[in-house]
Amino acid sequence: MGLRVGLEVHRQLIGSKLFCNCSGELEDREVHRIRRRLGLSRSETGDIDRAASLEIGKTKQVFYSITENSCLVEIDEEPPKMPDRATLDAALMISMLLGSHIPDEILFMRKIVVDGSNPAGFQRTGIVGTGGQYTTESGHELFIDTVCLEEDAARKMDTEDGTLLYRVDRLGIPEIEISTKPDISSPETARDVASSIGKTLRSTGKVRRGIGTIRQDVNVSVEGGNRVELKLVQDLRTIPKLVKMEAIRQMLLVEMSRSLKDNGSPPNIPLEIIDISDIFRSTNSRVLRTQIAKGGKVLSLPLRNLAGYFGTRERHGRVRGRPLSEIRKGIDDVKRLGPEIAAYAKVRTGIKGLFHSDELPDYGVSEEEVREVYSALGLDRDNDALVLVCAPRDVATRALEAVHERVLLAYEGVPGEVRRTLDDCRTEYMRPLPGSARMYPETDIPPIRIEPSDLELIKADLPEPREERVRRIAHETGLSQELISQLNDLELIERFEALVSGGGDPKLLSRILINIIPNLPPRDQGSRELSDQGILSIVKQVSSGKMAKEAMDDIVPMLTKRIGNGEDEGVALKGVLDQISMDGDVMTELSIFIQTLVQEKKDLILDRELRAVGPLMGEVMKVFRGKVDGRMISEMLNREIGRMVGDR
Amino acid sequence: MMYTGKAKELLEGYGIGPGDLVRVEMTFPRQTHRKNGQQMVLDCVLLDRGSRSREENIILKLDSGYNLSIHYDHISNMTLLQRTPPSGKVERRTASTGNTGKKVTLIGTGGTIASMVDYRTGAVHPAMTPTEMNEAIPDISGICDLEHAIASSILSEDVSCTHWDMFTMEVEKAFASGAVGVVIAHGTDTLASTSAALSFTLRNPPGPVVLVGSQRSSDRPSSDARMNLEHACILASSGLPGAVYVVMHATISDSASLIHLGTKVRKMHSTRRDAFMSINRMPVGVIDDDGIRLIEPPPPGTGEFSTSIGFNERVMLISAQVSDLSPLLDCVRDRYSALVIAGSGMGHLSSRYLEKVRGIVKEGIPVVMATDCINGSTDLDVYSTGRDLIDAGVIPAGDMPPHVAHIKSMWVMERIKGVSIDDRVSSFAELFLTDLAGEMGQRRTMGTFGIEYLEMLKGIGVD
Repeated sequence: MGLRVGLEVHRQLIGSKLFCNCSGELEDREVHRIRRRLGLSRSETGDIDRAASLEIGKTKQVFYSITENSCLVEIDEEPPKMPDRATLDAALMISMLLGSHIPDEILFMRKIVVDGSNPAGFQRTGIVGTGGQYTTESGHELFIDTVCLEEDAARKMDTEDGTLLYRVDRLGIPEIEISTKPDISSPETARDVASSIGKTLRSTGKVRRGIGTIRQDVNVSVEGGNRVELKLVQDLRTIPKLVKMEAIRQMLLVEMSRSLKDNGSPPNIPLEIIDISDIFRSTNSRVLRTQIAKGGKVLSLPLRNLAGYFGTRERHGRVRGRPLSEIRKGIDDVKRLGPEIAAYAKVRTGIKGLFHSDELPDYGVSEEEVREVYSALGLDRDNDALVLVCAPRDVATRALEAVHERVLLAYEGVPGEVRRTLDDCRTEYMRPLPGSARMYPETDIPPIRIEPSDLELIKADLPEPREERVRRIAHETGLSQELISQLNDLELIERFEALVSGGGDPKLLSRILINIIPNLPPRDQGSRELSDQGILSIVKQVSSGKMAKEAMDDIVPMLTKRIGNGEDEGVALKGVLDQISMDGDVMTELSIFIQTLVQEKKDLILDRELRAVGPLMGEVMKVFRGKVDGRMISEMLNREIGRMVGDR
Repeated sequence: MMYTGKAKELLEGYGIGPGDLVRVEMTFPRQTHRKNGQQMVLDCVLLDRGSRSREENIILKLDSGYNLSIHYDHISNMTLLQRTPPSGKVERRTASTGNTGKKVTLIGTGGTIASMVDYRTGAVHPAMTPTEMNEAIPDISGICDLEHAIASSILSEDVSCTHWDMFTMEVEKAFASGAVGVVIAHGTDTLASTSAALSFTLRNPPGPVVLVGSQRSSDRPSSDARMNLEHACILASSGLPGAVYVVMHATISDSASLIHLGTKVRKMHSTRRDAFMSINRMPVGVIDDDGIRLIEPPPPGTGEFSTSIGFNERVMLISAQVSDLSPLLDCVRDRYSALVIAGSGMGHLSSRYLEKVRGIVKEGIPVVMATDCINGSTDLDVYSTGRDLIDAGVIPAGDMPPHVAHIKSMWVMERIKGVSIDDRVSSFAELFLTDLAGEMGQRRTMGTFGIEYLEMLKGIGVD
């Protein structure tokens, strides 16, 4: 099917904001709120970006919530300052790791963005690397198009009254954008590439972590289709499904354009907008009644010979005369032209919905009304389609114009567009693809020169390539490369190295880092705070023979639980170790006993889950009564059983 | 073109100039971090080199819209694909003149409000024509019938006394041709100086003369020019008393603007869009979506409309500094016609200059004392330093901000140029101390300063 996928990976960098000295930490407290109106502007070539012009109309009102971590620069009340050198170096380092060519002069641009997410009406961005080639862990040869350093946008906030509100705390946080060439040919590879780029970025130690610090845009096209940009993919795991769904959507649209051409209906559909409000004077449709009461008109657009192209709920999955079962295998909700025209009308005018004849009668519109409309418009029910919009006259007119435009585009196949991804991997039209007219130079920032000596300095600071590092550490510690790879992938390798050089036994450390800490229940928040010193103390207890290594499985949770309850780590550690050293052998014995018991009674546990604690408790108590506190036994049993049940 | 040296030779060799669509083949040498060099072929538009770019570099606009700066050494071949491609179709809104029966003349003078980015120099440059500006105010046709005139196309720091005369004559012409009001689009740096100057040159104007500027150029979506211009047009066609006004943002929101009196306003911030504040006076009014609400309108003028152009440029404005002012005062005595001092506090100057000042006045050179506090009035009767200055012949400027005292002095000097040296200071004082355009406040009320100013804004519904 000629699938071509390209990725745009965005990742926030650490440090202060890119063009001012404000902190890059998000901040919820509003100190002030302002109202702005964004208007259109021309690029250096005198053009107006089409996407921007469609989005903004004349002017657009936006509110901004101003936070402590913002100054006059964010709200466009003061020119930007020169970008922070350390941030620039981080961007250049990432460019290097991806094998891109770093220009000897960096030019920042203004990218027109009029959704309101930037008070200036543009986002500042500059190329820090072009081209580049890079092999992912799975061995995929990846070609980079550009690496850009840009500022993140303001955060859109929910409002009750539907006004546009953005919080500027995120605005200006430096962000690296990596665009690959669109030559990825499978949905799964797309995900692997994104994941691999992510790891490379993290290896620099210069990127932010956590929710909202990373996002992917995915460009998808199929044979005969067009480039469609899927915005804001937060979770890598959804990429394959998103790509597949989009590929199918495009294939259906390509198929539809063929069908439309075969159908013999010419693509010169007239734009006839007819007021049919009279027919609905006493309609039972609640939607229509509400709108009419507010002064709305019911306008219609006749679409001759297009019956069946918009899709009914029953007819999903069939494009006129051609079963598409082979395409829609595994997809239960194939979209048709209906949602496409609805999205165009919605984005262009803000109307919530429209009716098309393939879905009528429904939504309270009666069969009789449908018949009346068809007869009033002189249309043939079997062949002709029509679209109804109920809104104030000018809004309804613009909505139908948008519908008309989208129907004409269907003859050409897939319109190039930007689509928003929704929770369930479906996507929704946002705007046409922006053209090059949206970019013009940021004249407030002079070109920034990059000298070869700058690159030398950055190179000296480059992180060790993954393979080399794994090989080296495996050799130094005597552990398997597999284990070290695991530490690397969990991003624990730096900590591991530090702990080893602190005198900890590598094998015991890897057990704590890989097997114990990640398996702690999430409520043990203290685990995150467990210091290197704490880990080393535990490991040394084992190395010095004071404690069996199996006991670590219990010591660590005990310790983190205490820390989670607010106890100081030092105090908690001493308490736990005192307890161990008092009856260290017993504890070890107990730990082994319980682990063995739980394995033996697996069937019982899987059947009764936590209710198995009671009977097993009895068995343990038979042996350890009087030697160990019953509460501790209960706790350890609960933990082991919980782990087994959780693994199932 | 801006290219020079080798880069220029290279482009000429390929027969390519800025604006051309070209295929560029690049060979990047091995960079520090890469094992090998790299080849790249791009179809892009050649741009002119900005003045701040490396001389050896060639600037390309990629298909994505990004500009890329490439050293000429890295370019292995260039092929012309298309000579200066025509720019995409631009739907230009035609400048609608409106049909409201209220003619307003928009005089363009330059400045940020009329600016476009100059991609050759990379700087913001006054270039927009009034027609283009009209395009920037979408709904102007419902407000007034706009007519255009261009008086100059300069940044406001380049405005001189000659320009003030020119603007005055343009305003006169506009009223003569039936305009009910005039809007002057001006750079903000010296906007308050021009508003003061025109307040003196335009005697009893028949309608509002509104100076307007913008702190963000019109080529950015966030420009404040749109609202400022729209509100200026509303004021110009409002039928308010004929006077010179300034209309600019009230806050950093695009929600309301303030009307300031031309002689009682000053730019108080270098970058914010609400930089202009009324000084020692309430704003005349506020304009928002609901139209104009008056706060303290000037009294309607009496008498015929006339103009009185001409300024004496040999008037010096200095501030009372700690450093040695003696050579400067000597220079004023030898080469200037009048002196305005922005004195400390209520209008003071170190007593060590007292005799120098007395000497200057004796030469027939009027010396005016304003306050560098900007807010508040001079009062030379409170401290002995002040009393000594009065005794030396210094003329207090009252609550005129220093720049207004300065411009008024320039204007007054030109009016009395025929007067003999002996009578010059007294003639100057007589005219200077006459209130001509609301510049001499007789009382200073609450609400014009400090937290009361903010409360006053809130009180009139400005958010």
